[in-house]
Amino acid sequence: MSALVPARPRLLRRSGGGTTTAIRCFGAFAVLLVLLAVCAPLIAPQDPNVGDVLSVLQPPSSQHWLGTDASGRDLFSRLVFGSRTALLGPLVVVLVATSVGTTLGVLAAWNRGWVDSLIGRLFDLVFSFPSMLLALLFVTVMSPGLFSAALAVSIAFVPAVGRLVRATALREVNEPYVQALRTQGFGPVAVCLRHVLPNVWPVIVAQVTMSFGYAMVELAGISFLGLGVQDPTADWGKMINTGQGSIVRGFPQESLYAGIALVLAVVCFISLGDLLSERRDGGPR
Amino acid sequence: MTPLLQVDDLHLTFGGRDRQEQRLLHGVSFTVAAGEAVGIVGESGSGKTLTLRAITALHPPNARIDGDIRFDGLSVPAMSPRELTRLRRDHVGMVFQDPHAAINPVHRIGDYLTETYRKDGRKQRRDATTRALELLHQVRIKDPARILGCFPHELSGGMLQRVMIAAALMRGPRLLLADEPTTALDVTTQAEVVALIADLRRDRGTSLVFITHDIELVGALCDRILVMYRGRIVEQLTPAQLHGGEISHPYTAALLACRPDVTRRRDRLPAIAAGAFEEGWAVQ
Amino acid sequence: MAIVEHNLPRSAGRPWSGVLLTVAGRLAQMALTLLTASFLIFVALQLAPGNPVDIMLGAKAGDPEAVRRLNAQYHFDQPLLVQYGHWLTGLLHGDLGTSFVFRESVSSLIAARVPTSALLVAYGGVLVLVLGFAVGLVASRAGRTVDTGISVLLSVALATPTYVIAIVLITVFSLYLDWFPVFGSGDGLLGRLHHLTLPAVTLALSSSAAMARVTRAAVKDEEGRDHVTTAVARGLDRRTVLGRHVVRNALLPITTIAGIIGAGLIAGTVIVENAFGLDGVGSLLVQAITRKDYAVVQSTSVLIIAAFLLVNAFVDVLYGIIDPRTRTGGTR
Repeated sequence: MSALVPARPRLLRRSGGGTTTAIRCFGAFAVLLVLLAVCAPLIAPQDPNVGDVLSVLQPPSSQHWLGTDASGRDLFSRLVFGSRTALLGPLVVVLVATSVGTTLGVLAAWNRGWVDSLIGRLFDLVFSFPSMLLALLFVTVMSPGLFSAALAVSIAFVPAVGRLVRATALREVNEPYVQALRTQGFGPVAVCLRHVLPNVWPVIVAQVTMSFGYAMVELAGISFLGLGVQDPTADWGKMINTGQGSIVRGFPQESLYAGIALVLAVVCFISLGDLLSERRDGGPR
Repeated sequence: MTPLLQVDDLHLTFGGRDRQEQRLLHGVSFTVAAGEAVGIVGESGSGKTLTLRAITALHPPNARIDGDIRFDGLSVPAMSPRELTRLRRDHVGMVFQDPHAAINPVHRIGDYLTETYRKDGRKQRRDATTRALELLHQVRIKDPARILGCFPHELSGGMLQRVMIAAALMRGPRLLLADEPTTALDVTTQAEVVALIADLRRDRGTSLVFITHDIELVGALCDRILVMYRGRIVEQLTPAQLHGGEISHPYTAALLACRPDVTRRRDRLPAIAAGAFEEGWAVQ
Repeated sequence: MAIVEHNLPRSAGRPWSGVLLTVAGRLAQMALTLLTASFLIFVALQLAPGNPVDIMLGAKAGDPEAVRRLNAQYHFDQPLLVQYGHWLTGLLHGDLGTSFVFRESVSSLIAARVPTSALLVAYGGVLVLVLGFAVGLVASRAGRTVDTGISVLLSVALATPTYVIAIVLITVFSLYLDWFPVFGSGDGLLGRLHHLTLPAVTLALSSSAAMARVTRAAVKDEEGRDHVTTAVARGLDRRTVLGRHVVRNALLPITTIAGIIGAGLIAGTVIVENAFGLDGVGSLLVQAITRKDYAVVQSTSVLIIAAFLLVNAFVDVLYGIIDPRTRTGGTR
């Protein structure tokens, strides 16, 4: 079998190149989305929240590029503005979930013992709730809105980040170099921040990108149920919901456009996360 | 008289077309007569396992085979899938290296032993159970009836290897292929298993091809020894020649030197460096 | 299965008592988790905005006499722990309190909704098993082009949220093709199944994709194992090798993710029922949340968590049955 070895590096290099190209493509798309959200007022031709009762459920025209919704609002403008909540929500989620999850994960890995088992129990408890249910209950307590929805989803996401970080950090903590630093008298916080965390970082980045996509799905779902973003703010999940009423009247465009926009964004972030973790693991599985 | 097994100028190649060709067997030829025991020795990667698997067309599907293999005068590479299945089921028994990996963990030993009779009639299936009990007894397993109801993970490696030997003998094969059947076992069990194989095949007159990297083991078990190195057979010996020191190839001598010996004290055992004998033997 | 089994003692009767022990342990663990979860939900809902008494009184809110009467009737004037105790003892008697919004007992409200949700999950589960498994098996046996094609489709199905699938299916099959009704639950079993087909497909699609992926990977992985080579070397025909060795063993990793898939189906009912206007437990939960009907929120949430835990426990037990190695607890 040893004679087969030379074939391997070549294979690896080829797929490695493909992965990098794909990462660039999805990355560029993500940047485009962010630009769209930031420059929404410049791009959208009309006010997304003001409708004209005289032009309800219009087909696409030169004035309304994608037509109008049941309240006579310009769909293209609403779609453009919808990218704002679509990105803002997941941003809050990954910020909260990653910082809390990473802290808890490193804490558990570093201290072991009762701290570790306590954190483990906590994660188990959160896992015993379906994440959608957890988010809905949290929204109930906090009253509906984008930020309470985002906080709710964050809580559901903490255990996943925490467990991943704990597992990775545990490997690092047991490495001789960490032991060496400790015997040299470096404090736990310094070692964690300067040495353990940077090594755990690539794992977190891949996880964060993927979580971003999944958070988008969950948040739009909550808005779809009417418990997230509230009227009249434009949001893709909300648009899918309100557009549903028009489907039976023969106008599926509002729901469809919002759905397509959402799926494209979600696929972009999830694939990006997938590719990043794939590259870190050294080649596709 | 035609030999039971005749391997003639066997080449085995991986790749081709867009990928670089890797030839792993270079014209291997040997015969095994009815009732004869042939041992193949060589280091890992010498091609002995590939040779063995090619005999019943079990080589990797992406490998190409050139040359001929004849079992009882019939060409194996020319066989239809159906004929191959019959050859493997009725005429050639196989014993593998690691019994815990080679036996499916989810089925009971009894199911495993009688598996090849599943498509047969009711009577044959009942006879198969009787035969399984008998064979377990012959491979010196105590309380065979209980073992039939056990799962593989409940048995030790040595026990399981005996079960695999029993399974290989279920349909009374004319040729037994053993692929390092003792490597995964501890030393005492190794000796027992080897003795068992020797007894069983002598009693039944079954031919045997036995693969190992332990050259003295084959010297004790086999009628003829083939030494393989880098995909070709470099030397053929009888046990008498081996013990008499009539060795012509330096690789065989090196293999012999690598064995630990209780009568000699040494700080280190010699090792064979990769490709040490390549010069002069590399072809093309 | 076995020709030998009937005339042989099973290896000492251990396996099944082992399974029973697992079941008992799991049930105890489940009860504990459920207790903790229900208490947490109870406490959380106390913190939620909106006073149920005011909602009940409606226009008469603020009448001190009426407020006092209702508070006493529903134990709102007692400490939190006592209130939780009341809910818990009520639960054991099948009494979950009264819905302030629907003016009906919570238990009968839920009981009326359970059949739709249960049927939806069961229908979806069957679809996942059949569809996911079949596609995965085909992908594992197919050539490179078909395999890649399926793999791309699966990625898209996995990344598409249920509510998007719902609107696409409604648009195509109800609006343009008019094969299935858009809303409602239907009458009789056949009518119900007809009405539930689009929802069940919606619910099952991404889970099926996950199932197909795992099946494909498990089958491919299993095909390369030594014991499969042994099976071929023993002259078993292709179908026997595939069925008895490859697929049978691939069931182990498939079962592992079946728990996650089952849980996903249960959680997914919340969105699917709302998208299709089905009157199940999930849509009841959302209605109760929007209308601040906390007695209903409390009980439906606990019910959903219980179903969630039950599925996971069931899968654990199933795993024990499928994999004999976990059954006997490592007696070498």
